Amino acid sequence: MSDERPSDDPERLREVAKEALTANRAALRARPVPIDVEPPTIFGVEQPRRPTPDPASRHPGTA
Amino acid sequence: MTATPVANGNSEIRFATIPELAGALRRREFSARELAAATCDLLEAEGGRYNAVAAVTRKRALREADRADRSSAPEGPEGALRGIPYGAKDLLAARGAPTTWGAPPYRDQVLSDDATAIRRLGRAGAVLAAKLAMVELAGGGSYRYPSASLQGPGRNPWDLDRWSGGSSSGSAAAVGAGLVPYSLGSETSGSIGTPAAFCGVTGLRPTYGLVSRHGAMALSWTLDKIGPMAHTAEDCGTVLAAVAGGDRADPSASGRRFRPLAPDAAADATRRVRIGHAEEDVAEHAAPEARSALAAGVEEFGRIAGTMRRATIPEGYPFGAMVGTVFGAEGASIFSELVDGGGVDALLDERQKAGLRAGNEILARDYLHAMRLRTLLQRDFAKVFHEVDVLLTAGRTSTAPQIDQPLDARPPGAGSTPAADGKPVGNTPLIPAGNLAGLPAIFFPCGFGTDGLPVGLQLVGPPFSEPLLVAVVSAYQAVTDHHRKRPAA
Repeated sequence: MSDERPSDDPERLREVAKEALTANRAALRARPVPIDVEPPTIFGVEQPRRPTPDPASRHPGTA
Repeated sequence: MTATPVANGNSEIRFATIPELAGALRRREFSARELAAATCDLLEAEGGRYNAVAAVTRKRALREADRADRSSAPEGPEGALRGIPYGAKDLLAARGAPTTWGAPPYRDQVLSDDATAIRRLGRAGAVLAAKLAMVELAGGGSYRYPSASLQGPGRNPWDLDRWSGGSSSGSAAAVGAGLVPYSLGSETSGSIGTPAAFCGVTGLRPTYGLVSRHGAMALSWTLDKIGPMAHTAEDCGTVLAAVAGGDRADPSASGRRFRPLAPDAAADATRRVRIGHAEEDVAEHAAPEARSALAAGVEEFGRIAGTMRRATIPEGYPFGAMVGTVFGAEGASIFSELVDGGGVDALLDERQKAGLRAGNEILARDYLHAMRLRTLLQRDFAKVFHEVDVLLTAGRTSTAPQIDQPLDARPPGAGSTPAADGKPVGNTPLIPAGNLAGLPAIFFPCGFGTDGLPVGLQLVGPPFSEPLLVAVVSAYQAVTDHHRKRPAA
């Protein structure tokens, strides 16, 4: 296990950070998004509308 | 130390809840000034033991306490915090006190105004006694060691050789050690939940947009949340009621308020709540030292609340890649001056420096891809919450790691990367998934691992379901005493 850990060498850690970036990029691109899907608004992540029935009706005050 | 009943050695007062302290103040067993002075004494005497304190704000605390003692405002929920001391994570601005963001490049920073959350607590009569330690820049570039903090590694009140968790390290340790009755922390992805679980305290991550972040260090505009940590869910709700609400200074503030459910409604909600969980979270993915206590906690929780059925978070999302890309890109913009100007070299953790620099290389298309996946994730979570009201899983699947252990050195099976072993992940990625969807969560203790360290659960609901989360966990805490356990002095 210890052999798999990155060392504390700054140069090696920079490589590790870049490798993480590459891995993230690959993971994201492996999960396509339909063309009509927009990002949430940057300021104020949109809250999803709840499907009916509204749970608030079962739990007064939760809305 | 004072010679009043509120002196440091009085463990009943030291670990008292907000209503217990409010009752003692009302009965004039001691004054708010005496309580503030004793709290500052305690923070000064013991804060260093846990590396939990960035600054004690004694002058301000005494001033606010005097105001509370003089107040003639009527009693009731609005006065629930009057005269009660607290600490705030050092990423929240407090006028006149240092606000270091836990990072050497900002060690001399003093901001001129209060963060909205701190201003609101002041209006509620609360007493700011300390700025509390945190991981530098809330761990924005990722960090490799618990020592990535200006105050040193956050030490766990249950075992000083274990980490308190991060990035709200001091906020959790100070409550867990009984230095303050409650605190404010913040979470981008796990920074309230992790230290709450490791230190055995209750922490509430609000819905994105419920609490203003004005005056808080930004790490990720679309992920950051401010929330309370305390001894009980009820106390978290009391603090949340004071700090939630709209704020023109924060464009993300939704304008929604928080009010706890009335007792009858809370009892009804607890009886009827549909809890979703996945057995493999504990059975397959919990670390050996935590497994038994977590399993017992889930079973105990199921006995007090509603019905339990299998339900899991939306599948097929690269949660880690999404979170890393979103806060990596936003953090690269936020800290561009620090990185481009070379100030980043003064940070303590080499991994943190490398991570912040790497953020500059995230492509706009990948950031937007991650953001568009968040839209899909929110829609899919809405479907999950059509079937169940809340999701229950482990707060963390392991107990606190050793203080000197690299955080990427957990052995296989320690609960860190369940996807890697090919087993179904269940709800184990609920921390990144819930943060990406802006969902509220409450973390609460449910027992102790075989190593004697706290373990806890988390309950996550749809947006703005905090009243339900607080009600259900309060019902659990009314019939259990895990949250009442205290570390040895």
